Amino acid sequence: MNYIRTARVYDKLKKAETAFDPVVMSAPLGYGKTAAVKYFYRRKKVLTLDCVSGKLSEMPPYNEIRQSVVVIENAHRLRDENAYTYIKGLVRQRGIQTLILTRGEFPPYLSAEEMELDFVRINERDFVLNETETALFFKERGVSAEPDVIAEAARLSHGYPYALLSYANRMASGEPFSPALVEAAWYDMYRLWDNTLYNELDEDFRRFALSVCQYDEFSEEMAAFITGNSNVKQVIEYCINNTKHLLFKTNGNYSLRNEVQGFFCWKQDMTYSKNEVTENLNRGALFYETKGNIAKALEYYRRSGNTQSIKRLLIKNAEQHPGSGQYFELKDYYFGLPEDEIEDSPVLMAGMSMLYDIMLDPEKSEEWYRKLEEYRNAPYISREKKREARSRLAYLDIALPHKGTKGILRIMKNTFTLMTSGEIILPEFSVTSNVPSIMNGGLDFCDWSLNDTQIAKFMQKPLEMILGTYGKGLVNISLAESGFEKCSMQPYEVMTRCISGYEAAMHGGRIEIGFAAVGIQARQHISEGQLPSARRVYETFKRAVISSDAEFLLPNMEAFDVWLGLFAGNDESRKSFIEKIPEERNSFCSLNRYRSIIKLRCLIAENRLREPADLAFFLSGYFENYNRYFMQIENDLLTAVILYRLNDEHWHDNLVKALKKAEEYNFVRIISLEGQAVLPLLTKIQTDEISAAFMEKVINETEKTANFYPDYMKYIEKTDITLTSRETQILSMLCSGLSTDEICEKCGITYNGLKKHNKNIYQKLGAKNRAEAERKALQFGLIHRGAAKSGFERR
Amino acid sequence: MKWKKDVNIDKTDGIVLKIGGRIKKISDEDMLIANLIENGITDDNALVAAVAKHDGNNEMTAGLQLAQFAADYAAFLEQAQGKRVFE
Repeated sequence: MNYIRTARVYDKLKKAETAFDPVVMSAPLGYGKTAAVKYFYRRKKVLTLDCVSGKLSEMPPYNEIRQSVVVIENAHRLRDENAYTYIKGLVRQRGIQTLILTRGEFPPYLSAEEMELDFVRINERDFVLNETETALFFKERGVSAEPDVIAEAARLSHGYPYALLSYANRMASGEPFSPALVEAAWYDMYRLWDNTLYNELDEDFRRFALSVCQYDEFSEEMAAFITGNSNVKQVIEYCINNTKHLLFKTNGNYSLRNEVQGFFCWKQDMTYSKNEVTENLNRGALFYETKGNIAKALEYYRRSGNTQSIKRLLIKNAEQHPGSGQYFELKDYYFGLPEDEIEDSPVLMAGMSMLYDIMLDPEKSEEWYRKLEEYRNAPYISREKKREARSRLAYLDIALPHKGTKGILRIMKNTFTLMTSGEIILPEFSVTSNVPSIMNGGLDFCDWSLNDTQIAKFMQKPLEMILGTYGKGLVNISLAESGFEKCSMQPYEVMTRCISGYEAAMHGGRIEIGFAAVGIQARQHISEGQLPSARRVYETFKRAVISSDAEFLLPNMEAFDVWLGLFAGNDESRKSFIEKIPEERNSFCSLNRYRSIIKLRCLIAENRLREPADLAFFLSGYFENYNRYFMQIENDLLTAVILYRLNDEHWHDNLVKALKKAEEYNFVRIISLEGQAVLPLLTKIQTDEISAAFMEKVINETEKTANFYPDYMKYIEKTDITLTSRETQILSMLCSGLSTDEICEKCGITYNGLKKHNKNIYQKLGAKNRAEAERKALQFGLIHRGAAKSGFERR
Repeated sequence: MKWKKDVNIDKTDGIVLKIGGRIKKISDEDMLIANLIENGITDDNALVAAVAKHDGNNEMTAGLQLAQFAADYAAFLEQAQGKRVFE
């Protein structure tokens, strides 16, 4: 069987040979260091010195060495000062090329020589076979496989040639490449290492690796906590300097390299008792818990089967983060708890009620609400628990999304009475759900805009008392938003209220309220054609968010950033944003609504009109059932735009519906900020359901915005592009990822013929390359997404 | 807080408000506030004090009750004037 030489290794050895430079080859066991050297120097006489028991097997005087190449194997095992001195002299000998093979890093005893001599370094990355080399590797072993199988095998080998060898050996005996083969091949390797390598390892390292192998990464502190070894720093240092088992990550943590981690997990299974494994996982979970990393702590408590700790953490988390309590992110843990455990805790019952509500199941939400009420009324419950139950019910009465805002101030009044009498302790909670709006925040407060100033006058003080820090700045920002939307407040007043609210929120209040202020300020700037000012306000706030570690705001801030980009006609950010948001039908929670409505706009801007039509339809059910009037107006408006562009006459009904609702509140800007996208519709609308005065105001504002931002959600008429049937066929194949050869074969044309068609297609689409052509094909609706992903369609 | 100028108040059966095409009856729990307004108490601070005194509650709960009233009957109430810059 021929050795498959790796181009990079070969080239480096060639370079070193030409200049007689010393070589350090640094890679773990099984990467083929010895095989590479044997192959390269197969026609030369080589002296090999091995490292045994920390010393060199021999140290012949330099002038007695007859070979021109000296290879030092297993240099990582050296512990002998004499050997170090010998090697330091060896690398300086003229006429002798020295190659040092090690599983560790560059030998520290050669640091002086490294400065003076031109060492050639070959590391594990150089040994990774490329696709062609991998195919040849398999072929040499009698394995014929499809390119995608070869690619997958290469990927699953993690760059480890020994893994490829294991796969090839199994496939050569007829086994098909599959996850089961991969698993079995790795077990082969673990057994081999167990027999050859395990006992060679330093004992401290063995104990260390058996403890930390369950963790994808760990800090030194965490390793000490889990292993109970205060000398863990020495173990880590030894590892880094002398082996390749440990990787140092950019965040300052360490991880066992993939195959080492896999081996030690396998070994742990065989070595540790069930109790020891559980204890190990619990220690890791406890470490994460002490560091406030609730998600990781829960993950490891789940793995250890520690239901009580999961319960305890969920309660603690809900108490610390009452706003959303990270319910959706932790939903698997909530759903994983036995019901009787949940029914024992008012905090968890309230959590379940909130979780179901944000997952758009108000019936289940009410079910848990009723269970909590029954719990509160049960005679056997302690006073403390009753109080907790009452407190949680009060919180749900105000905060449950499906309940809306009807009568909420009356509820707050009763809540306030209970608070002042000490019957409940209401947890602090957020009203914004981390979106850049108060009116359209945790609940929809559009109705309050009908008499905003009067309501604000009466409720400001009590609201700040009830909401605590979440109340700081809230009323000013709400008034600014209401005034902005109605065009009833001068820009100066909008800004001043926002800034005042922002300052209050950022100093002693809550940063998410600051986001609402920023959102309104940005919208005010945009309405005046000042996009750079809007961006400046956003960027300043983003820096504050990052320095405050308020990462929970970043997802919606990203959406906000993309929305700003729409006004600039920014293609790139909207494309990548669309791909980031999971398909709503598969996984949706009401906390993601802001990102979804921005995604809707992005899809429209990309001219992918079928997808936003589906999305808008999906969202409308949620908005209507949950009394989200503001978003309902947005959704109906955007639906009108979509239908208009699809030449569907129902655009008119949707637009009228949006305008009617907007007129109820006198909201002008919710329409006008859609500028260029909605102006053509407004000029064509014919209805007497909207007052002339309101229409005039809306159209005036919309024209202003359209003039400022002509590229906003710009519509590109697809009828301007005409492709021949052959061009359409080829375009579909390009978009489905077929190679040039495959397209030529399927179409029965030559390469030059294909080149000509491609040139015409690119010209007609205004594209510079294949990727751009694919994007524009989707944008113009020339092919649909299904065709782009799988196969092609004929026209 | 006061009614809009063109609100029609019908007292034949409780208090019923009418304006444009809209009609709304004052609920029992809101009668106190409606009567205070009818009796000429339209200053906001005076309303808060009167509601608080009547119910034996403090001004915080009175404020919330009045805010709810302002929300429920917004269509019939005059828009309040805020301070020029901010509260």
